[in-house]
Amino acid sequence: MELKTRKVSDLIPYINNSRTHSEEQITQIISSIKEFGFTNPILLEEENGIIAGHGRLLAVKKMGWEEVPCVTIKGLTKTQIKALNIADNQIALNAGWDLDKLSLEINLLKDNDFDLKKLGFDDNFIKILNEDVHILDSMPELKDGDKEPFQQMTFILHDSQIEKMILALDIAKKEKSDNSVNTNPNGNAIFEICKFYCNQKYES
Amino acid sequence: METPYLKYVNFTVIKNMKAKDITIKPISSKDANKLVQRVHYSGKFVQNSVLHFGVFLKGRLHGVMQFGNPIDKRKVLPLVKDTKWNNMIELNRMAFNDILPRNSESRALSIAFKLIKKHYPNIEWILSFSDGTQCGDGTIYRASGFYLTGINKNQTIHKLPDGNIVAKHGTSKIDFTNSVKLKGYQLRYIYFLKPEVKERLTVPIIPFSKIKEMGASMYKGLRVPNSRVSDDQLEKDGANPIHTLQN
Repeated sequence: MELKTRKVSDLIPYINNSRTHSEEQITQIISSIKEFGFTNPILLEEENGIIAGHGRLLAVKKMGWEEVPCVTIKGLTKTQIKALNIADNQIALNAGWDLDKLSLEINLLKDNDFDLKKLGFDDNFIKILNEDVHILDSMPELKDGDKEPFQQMTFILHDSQIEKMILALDIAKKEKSDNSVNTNPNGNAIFEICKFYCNQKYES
Repeated sequence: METPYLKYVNFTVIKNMKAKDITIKPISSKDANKLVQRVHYSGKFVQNSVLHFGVFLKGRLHGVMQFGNPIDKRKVLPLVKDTKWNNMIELNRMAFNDILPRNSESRALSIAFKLIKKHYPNIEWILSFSDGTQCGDGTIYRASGFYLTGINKNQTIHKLPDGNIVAKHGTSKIDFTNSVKLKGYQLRYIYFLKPEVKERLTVPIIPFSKIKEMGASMYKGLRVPNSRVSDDQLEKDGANPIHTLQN
């Protein structure tokens, strides 16, 4: 590969270049070149035909440049050149974004007063990435005092055990029980059943 | 192995910003959890956190402090005599972006403690643990007025066969078969929001020098030389050094 500055007028755009470049994108490329410099030379075949970099060429023409850095690639067949013209664009499109990291990076750039428009994203997309953090109006309520004297217990019963369980609970609920510390009827009923069972066991 | 965070070091220090420029605000758990997942070395937030402070610089969220109930609260309450159920809270997570100015952590903690003291007068002391198996021995806590009350060999942090590092607790539903317990120490720190409560501490205060003596020193994910944890810890059965902490 050979890196060389060439005259813009000498470069030959590929007649069947299928990649399209909107006015807006050309403006973005210009803005990027102004900020970062010409970081990606135009890719040429041996006869100055452009394989990749048609958008960049349009940008530098618009900027009035007479010369532009190019890389000439040698040894490719005509078929490979046609394929590279497409693959160079499509393979790049197949990459994705880690949105969390992208958001972090963009916010860091913003904090450093970098003009986010130069990144090439749609304004709405940037807005979504910069989604505001919700600051609470006041401090959240936290529990005070001591632990509540109640605990929730969970059991798993087999279908065949349910009927007996419900029956026992119903019977226990009909019995007079002390509900001065707990107003939960099921809790009190289970307690009465357990108390009865323990007394039986203890007495025997 | 390089992490994206290493790239920040040279270009993202926000110009002319100092720790005094940060602001601390209560934020939602959703926002806090997102940042913790992104920035904390474990990549995990603590489910039972109930109070989340955001650390803002130039209006952007760059850090989070999460407070909540300890996993086994009954066990820690007796550390300070006569502590009632809601008299203490645990600092579960601290996650700060590398770009925050120096000493931001200490300042953020100091502001958070003032807010807790003002809004929750029932809270008398704050518990926190530093992870000396993967992160550090608590430099920030020591700089923030915490007392060191325990240096224990790690019993909970395990490396699973798939490489995930998780804490093993009684309530955990994870399969720990073939997991490896990380070598290293966990250090327990206590901060007294009310100085007089220190008199009720039921465990001895350990001098900070003991950390080095016991070979429990760790800073930004790397063991400090002369650490007594065996050398095979670093890259084999222990956690790898935490790159995000080594800037």
